[in-house]
Amino acid sequence: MDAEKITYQAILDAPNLDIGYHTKKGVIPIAKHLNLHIFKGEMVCLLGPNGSGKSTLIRTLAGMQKPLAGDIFIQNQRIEPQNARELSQQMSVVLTEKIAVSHMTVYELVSLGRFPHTNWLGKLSENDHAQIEKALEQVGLTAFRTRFVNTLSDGEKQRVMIAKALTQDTPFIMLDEPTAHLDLPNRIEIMKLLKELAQQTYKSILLSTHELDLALQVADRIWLMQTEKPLLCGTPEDLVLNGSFEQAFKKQSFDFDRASGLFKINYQHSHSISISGDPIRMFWTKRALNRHGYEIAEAHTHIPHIDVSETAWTLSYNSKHTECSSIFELLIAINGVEGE
Amino acid sequence: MEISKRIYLIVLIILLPITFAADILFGSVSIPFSIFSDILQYNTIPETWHIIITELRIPRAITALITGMALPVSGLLMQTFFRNPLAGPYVLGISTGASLGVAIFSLGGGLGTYAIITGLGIGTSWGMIIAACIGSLAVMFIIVSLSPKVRDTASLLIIGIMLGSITSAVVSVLQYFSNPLEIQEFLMWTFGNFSGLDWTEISIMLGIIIPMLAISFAMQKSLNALLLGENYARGLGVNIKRLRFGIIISASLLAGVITAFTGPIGFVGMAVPHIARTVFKTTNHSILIATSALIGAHLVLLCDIISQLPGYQSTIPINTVTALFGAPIVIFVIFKSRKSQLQY
Repeated sequence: MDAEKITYQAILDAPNLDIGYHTKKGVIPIAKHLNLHIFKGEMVCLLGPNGSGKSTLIRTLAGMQKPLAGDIFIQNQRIEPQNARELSQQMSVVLTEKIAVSHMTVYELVSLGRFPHTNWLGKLSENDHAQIEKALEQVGLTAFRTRFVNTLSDGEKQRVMIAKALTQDTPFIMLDEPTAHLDLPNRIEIMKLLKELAQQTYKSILLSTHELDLALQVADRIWLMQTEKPLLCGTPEDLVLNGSFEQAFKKQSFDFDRASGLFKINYQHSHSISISGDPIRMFWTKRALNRHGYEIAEAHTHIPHIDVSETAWTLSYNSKHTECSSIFELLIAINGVEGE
Repeated sequence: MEISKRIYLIVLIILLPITFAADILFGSVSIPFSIFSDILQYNTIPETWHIIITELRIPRAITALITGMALPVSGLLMQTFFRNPLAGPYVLGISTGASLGVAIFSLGGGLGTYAIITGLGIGTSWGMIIAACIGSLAVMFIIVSLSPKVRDTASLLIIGIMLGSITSAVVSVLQYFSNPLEIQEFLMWTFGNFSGLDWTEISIMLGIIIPMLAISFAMQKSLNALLLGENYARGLGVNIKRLRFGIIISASLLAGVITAFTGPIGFVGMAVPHIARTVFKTTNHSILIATSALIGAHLVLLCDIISQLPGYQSTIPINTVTALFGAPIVIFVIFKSRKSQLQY
């Protein structure tokens, strides 16, 4: 039932968590007093600029390093980072490490996900086989089961690792930059897949990523890490509206555009130009003009004007008209006008 | 497992007693094949043959068999552990550690070790075995104590190679200051030798090697997880510290004890796991451990037979046979395997 789905039962709880490193020179804290929760069936994206401590947080939650202070609970059970066996029943991980092994089939790799559930021989029961098949189906790799893993593309490999995590049958899955090294279509597909899995299986998913625009579209909530500032939690929309996004990613060379949810590069504008016509064609024409240093201004007799029609671009300046059939031609024509 | 691979496995198992029996027949005194039917029919066989077979040939064949099983399993463990296809008993410096022990014993006339040990009433052959064991265990101890402090296995691999270089340099220094007779004795040891072990020595060797093979097999599930890397393995619930310790101890003892009893046997430990992987096209350690041991046993028994071929008085040193006949096999396997690339 849908009503059951919207329960706010926390799968992961980390109240008052301090993370960082112990070194010979002393303790290097990365972030303090974190209060983290992930609810059942929720997909949380961990965002933040490089060096803000995303990896440290992921490594701490995965039990690969100890927190400086505080405890982590999964399903109200305190996690002992040293007890890998217990942890493996609660959390499965997809890491950035490359899988370089040969002669291992997709099926064999995914079956390793059953590791915490099988006996010392690793013999797979009928239930284990069923879980593996189901996971392969969920990530769309059923046809790949006998392929060797080292013959797959990066996107397919990532799906195999996600299938392994599903097969591990844990309430919580954590992925460290699952879309790194992937091309754009694969990045979108992996994000979409994870979102669907969270919805269908009610598993909680935490992933770190640099894909801001994708995260804004798929995440139920976002954890925004910032260097030497508190971690911000919230739905993507809340974080956009209260300006947290602009704050965190503010740089001189680009802006976060609240209206579109996209990052815009700030170009130095040296010329003005006015434009009118078909809205969609005008939008893309403006982008090209922006990139070439033109600021869009109100129509005025002293500046060039472009009229965008269904088929062509007409550049008017000093009562001279030039017709162009593409934006490329238009840009050349404008350069000619400026040269005069 | 696919049917064709099952057949390979069954053939390997069925042929093993035959290879073993063939190894018994070859040697400086030729014994006809009919002896087996005589034994089975309780016919009397000549007394000299009886002694040759029970006191010389069977111990030699058992030594070859167990060497062929132990070294490839040791190599397989190291290749998985170091995620490196070149890893093997030599790489961790374990074999060279054993040579150092033997070198100090047999070359160190000036050091007085020989006098001390023989003075304690220990024979020369036992002295060499003990010295080799101490040498390989010393290298192993250094590696084990360093391994928790070195986080990545690549660094550990380099430390192993460096330890190997240091020990072989020390051996060279010892050789330089030794008399020809001592050097000859040491060189004979480095040629490798399966004969000359009595039943006490064989039972001690089996008493260490068989439990280590069993422990290696008991780790097979964790070894499979380790193929994904230590962090993934930990995520699957593997106790990495315990596994590291288990791998280093069993890989070192398998290689160290064999080297102590037979001298350094080259190539087998590194190459056989690759043959097993190529033939059985799997990374599953339960299959790889069993098939590496089987293939290794066949191969070393065959090499031992070849080393006896000149007949009568002379034999070819076993270490040269394993290299001469084994290295081409490795090259062949590399060319046959897809992408012409060795993997772990």
